Amino acid sequence: MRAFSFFLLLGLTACATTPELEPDTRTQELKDEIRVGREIASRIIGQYGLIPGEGSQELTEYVNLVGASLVPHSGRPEVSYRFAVLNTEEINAFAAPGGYLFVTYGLLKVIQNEDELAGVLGHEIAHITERHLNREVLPKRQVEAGEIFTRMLSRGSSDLAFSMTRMVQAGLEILLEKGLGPEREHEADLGGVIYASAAGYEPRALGSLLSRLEKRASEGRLPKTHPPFPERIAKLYATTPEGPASSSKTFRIRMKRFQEVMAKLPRRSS
Amino acid sequence: MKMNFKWTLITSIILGFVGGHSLAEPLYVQAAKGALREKPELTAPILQELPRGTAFESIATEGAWYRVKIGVKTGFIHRLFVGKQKPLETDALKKLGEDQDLAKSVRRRSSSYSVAATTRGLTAGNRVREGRDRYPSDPEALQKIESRQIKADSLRKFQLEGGLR
Repeated sequence: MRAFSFFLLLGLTACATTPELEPDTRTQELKDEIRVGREIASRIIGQYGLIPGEGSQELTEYVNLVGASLVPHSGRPEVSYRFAVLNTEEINAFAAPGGYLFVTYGLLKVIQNEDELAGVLGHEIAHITERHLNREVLPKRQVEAGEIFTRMLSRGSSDLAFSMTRMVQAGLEILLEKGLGPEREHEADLGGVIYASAAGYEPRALGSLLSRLEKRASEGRLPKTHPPFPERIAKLYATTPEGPASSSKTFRIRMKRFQEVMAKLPRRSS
Repeated sequence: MKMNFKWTLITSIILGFVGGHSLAEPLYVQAAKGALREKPELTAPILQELPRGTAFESIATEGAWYRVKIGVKTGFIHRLFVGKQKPLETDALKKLGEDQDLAKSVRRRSSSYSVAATTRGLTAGNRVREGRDRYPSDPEALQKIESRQIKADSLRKFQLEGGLR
């Protein structure tokens, strides 16, 4: 009887804790995430295109350097993050699973310095570290016994492709049309500040950018995929420092290199 | 005996639930360094930088912060730096081999959009709003992004110049 109680106790305790997954299972999960993320990323580029022409290579290199400076400080540094600039005046940024991150040319024009850009990229990295889109579209590995069965029956072809198709389409609808929802966007804002400040960037920079974007939003120039700016700013300042960004020497160096890279792009009308 | 069994069962269930909640699950630092701070605030002084993979148990939570005890120090670490699983090796994917050819994969997916639409009984008109017609892909541009490599020395120079960590 005592033995029975012991096993019951053990069983209940085990139910209340998170099982440690094998590294191979988690690596396979990451591989699945990348497969879906690649498809989504490829279609985001198909929608907008990458920024072309003179200065674009240098700008992309620069955005990658800023992003790569944040990655080690993030909650998932094992992901191979890629950063790219989309050729659209629309003010937005996207994170596709697997670490494919995009910022639009329109948003870069509103950004005034490197620290604000770091805040934006940190926000997108947080969508990846917190697996925001994965939770909406990717099945968990543990429930994939059915998938293995399907794979066996279809010899790894149609049904799996069908579910992949649904995942990609659902992901694109969320990113481009519906949005991830206010809770996840607030969490990503916080992540943007936390990862950027851990890398040495000014923690107030993202708040400054959001305040500037709030004015644009009132002019109706922003997509509706994100929660209202007053709500975002209030949530952000509830947990992060408020006030003007620092004007330290290194801040000015970073601002100067941002402005230099942006100045090399050909001027366009908005 | 029957009475004994009943009480043992009830006690076990209560202990099971209580035990399940009080036995803290191990947490692991996922970032290269996770700052252990004096207070649950972003600007609070850093007591210690915990390297990636450091395991700890949370004593309590305060908002998005875990209150933890590391050695003799008690401090706070933000939950965005930690996870419930041991961190994966950074070259974990290499062990499983590189993924399939992207261009081929994207072409197959494009065709599967049409298959999926047909399976769902959508008309040709509706299918235009579905899948590939709605979201055209650009695998070549994606490959360009994937082939971009940041050199470690360029990154280091960039970070040093900008006063980054």
